[in-house]
Amino acid sequence: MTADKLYELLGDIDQTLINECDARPRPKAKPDPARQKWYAAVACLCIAVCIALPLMLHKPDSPHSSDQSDVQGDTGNNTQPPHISLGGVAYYSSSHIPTSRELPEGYELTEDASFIGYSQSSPCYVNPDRPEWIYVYSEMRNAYVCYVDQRLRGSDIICYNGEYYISMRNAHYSSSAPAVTKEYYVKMDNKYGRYIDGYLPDGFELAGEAVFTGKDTVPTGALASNDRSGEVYYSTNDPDVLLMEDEKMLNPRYYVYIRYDCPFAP
Amino acid sequence: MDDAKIVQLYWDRNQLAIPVTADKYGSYCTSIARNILGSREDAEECVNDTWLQAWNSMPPHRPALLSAFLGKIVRNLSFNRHKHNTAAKRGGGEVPAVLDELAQLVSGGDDVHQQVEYKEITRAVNAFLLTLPQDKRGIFIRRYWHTDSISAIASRYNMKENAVSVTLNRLRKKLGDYLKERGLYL
Repeated sequence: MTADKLYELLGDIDQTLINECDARPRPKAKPDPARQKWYAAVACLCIAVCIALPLMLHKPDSPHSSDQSDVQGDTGNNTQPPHISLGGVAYYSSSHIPTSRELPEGYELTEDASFIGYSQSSPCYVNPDRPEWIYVYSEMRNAYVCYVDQRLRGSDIICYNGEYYISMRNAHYSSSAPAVTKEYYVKMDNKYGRYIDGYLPDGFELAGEAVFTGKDTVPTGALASNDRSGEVYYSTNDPDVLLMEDEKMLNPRYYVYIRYDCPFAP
Repeated sequence: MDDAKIVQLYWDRNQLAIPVTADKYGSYCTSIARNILGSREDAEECVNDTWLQAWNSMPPHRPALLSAFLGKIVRNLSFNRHKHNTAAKRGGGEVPAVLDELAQLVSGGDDVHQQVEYKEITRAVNAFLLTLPQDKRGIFIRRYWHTDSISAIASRYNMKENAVSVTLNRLRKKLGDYLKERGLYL
């Protein structure tokens, strides 16, 4: 083959990959190191003022001390970061799904969303066929921003033959929406840990190469992952576990995924 | 205007389709053509030909990703123009450097039996790209699809030019190994 022909063949690279490359914003330039120490000094000063000022102004005996919940939105729940509550589910803005100038197809306005921790609400859109994502119109960005169900956002999930497996890194049991029970997590943690370095445990065989479906998506298909593509191993002795190889490591590393009751399973 | 609406203009044979496309994707297509050809005049001609080819392609095509669809057209047209210019002993742009790099991966022969493998190779290249972290995938695509210069990629990814060259070198080697493992020889 000639280099010309290879160059032509590379023109057939999957258009979604080209689009991903085009859509990705340029990384911000690293700040000038000489200026960084000044930024750090200013930041320290700001923190000191923020801590000192309330202490100086605080009057413990005053019956009219202000209620901070007024500026936190309608619930006054200050323990969670700003989010949208809809149907008892918390949605957080996605770090991966790009904003859209147009409202994606199938989404309709809903009045049921509560904006927790925001000073004001915005139009919110839902799609019954895709309950894991909602869109909110941002006037500032002049775009629709995707919010993802907290049980899915940032979670690394593999779908293998219709069963769902979550990475031990994300299989939390103590949050407001636990993925697994504490007993199950502790059992698996004792048996496998979060990852296995250096060797593939006995009994595990290659299941295949997982298809990457995109971050913050619900993977579907025979073998799919919403974290990345990569080789996945299974064991007939322990059907509750899958291992996914991390090819970026110099020595083999296998991340542990445990079977769980995925709330987004079709 | 939304891409779906622009595509619908083509399907409706509405002549607004071309100016709307040129307005939205003119600079994108021009940058690809200029990377390949180096000449502003040649690039503008190829971009104008791109609108015409888009008009002739839609219908029957209804691209889901209009930017990539137009990018592919302008890339092909510009590369054909580059080959024509090279035959006529003129031309510039990034293509000679990119072809030199790609030449390290190929045998240089022109085996007709290989024709059947082209689709297989394309599929394997796509699969290979999916195994890469997003940044490295972006660097590869920027160099070998958009034909961006090393300095443009370095600027885009906040890297030194030397680091970009080293990364590309490793990616080419990795791609070569990946294809060989699958019995695909270039």
